[in-house]
Amino acid sequence: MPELRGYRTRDAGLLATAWQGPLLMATGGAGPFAPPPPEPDGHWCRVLVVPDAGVAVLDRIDHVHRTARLSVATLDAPVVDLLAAALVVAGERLRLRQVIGVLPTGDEQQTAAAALGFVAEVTIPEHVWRDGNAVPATIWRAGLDDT
Amino acid sequence: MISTAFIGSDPTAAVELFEEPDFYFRTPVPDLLSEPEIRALLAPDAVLCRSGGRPVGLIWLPLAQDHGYAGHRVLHARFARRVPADAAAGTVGSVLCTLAGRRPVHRVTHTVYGGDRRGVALAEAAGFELEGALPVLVAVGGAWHDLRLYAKVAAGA
Repeated sequence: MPELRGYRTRDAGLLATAWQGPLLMATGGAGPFAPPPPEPDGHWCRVLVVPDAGVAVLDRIDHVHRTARLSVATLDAPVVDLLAAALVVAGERLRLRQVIGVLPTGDEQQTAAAALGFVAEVTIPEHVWRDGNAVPATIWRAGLDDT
Repeated sequence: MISTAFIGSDPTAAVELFEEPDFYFRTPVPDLLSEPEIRALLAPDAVLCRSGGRPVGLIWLPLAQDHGYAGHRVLHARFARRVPADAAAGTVGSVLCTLAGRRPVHRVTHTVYGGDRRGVALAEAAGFELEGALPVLVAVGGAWHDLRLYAKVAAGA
């Protein structure tokens, strides 16, 4: 399983080239006109990195209800492995109770997300822009060990 | 041989210490912190310990409170895994001696997570006494642990 660590200034290039916006799973690099990368502040947004491979971003962290939105992006490494590692960190190290993430509805990655315990909760019409169109997206939720 | 020096205004050299997941210097998740967060933990008067030119540990001894009789310090100390407990304890003792020679110190407290064997070893090797524990207070490494309170009281205090 990939080993995630905290963001360093030297990771700025990786973050800028891998991050495709707040999507639960994304791979292949950001390309031109990518959204600006998240700014880690440690309180509301935690950026974790596997050097030269990918990033896992926990933002909208709610320290009262112990929830967050999770987005994982890789350049060409298997994104499912990074997502699995991020779930372990979120549950065991950061003690979050559940995470949510957004995928375009019907995305090829949704089977992998379900295999890791994510459940499709809500589908929102015209929610993300893909291939020149606004397409529906589904919010997936993973409950983490709450002991 | 471990040398010591104040961090000063540029803590860059100390950042690499936080790559070890159990480098519990003022945080339960050192390896998950971003660089700005790490820098925020490193006060200018924290002591950076080096061995062979490489950073191996951090010691910080702030006042427990900013008013009244300033003789109560809180010890934050952590060393890299490769540093034996006795060497780390010797360095902590040396820094404490230097401090006590320049400022009044009658009591130093130090907290350690219950499951943190290296932290416990350092506290005991440095001569701290276990005063008590707050049960099931901190979640570290996927489990809940006690928070152990250690202290050292100056002779005659």
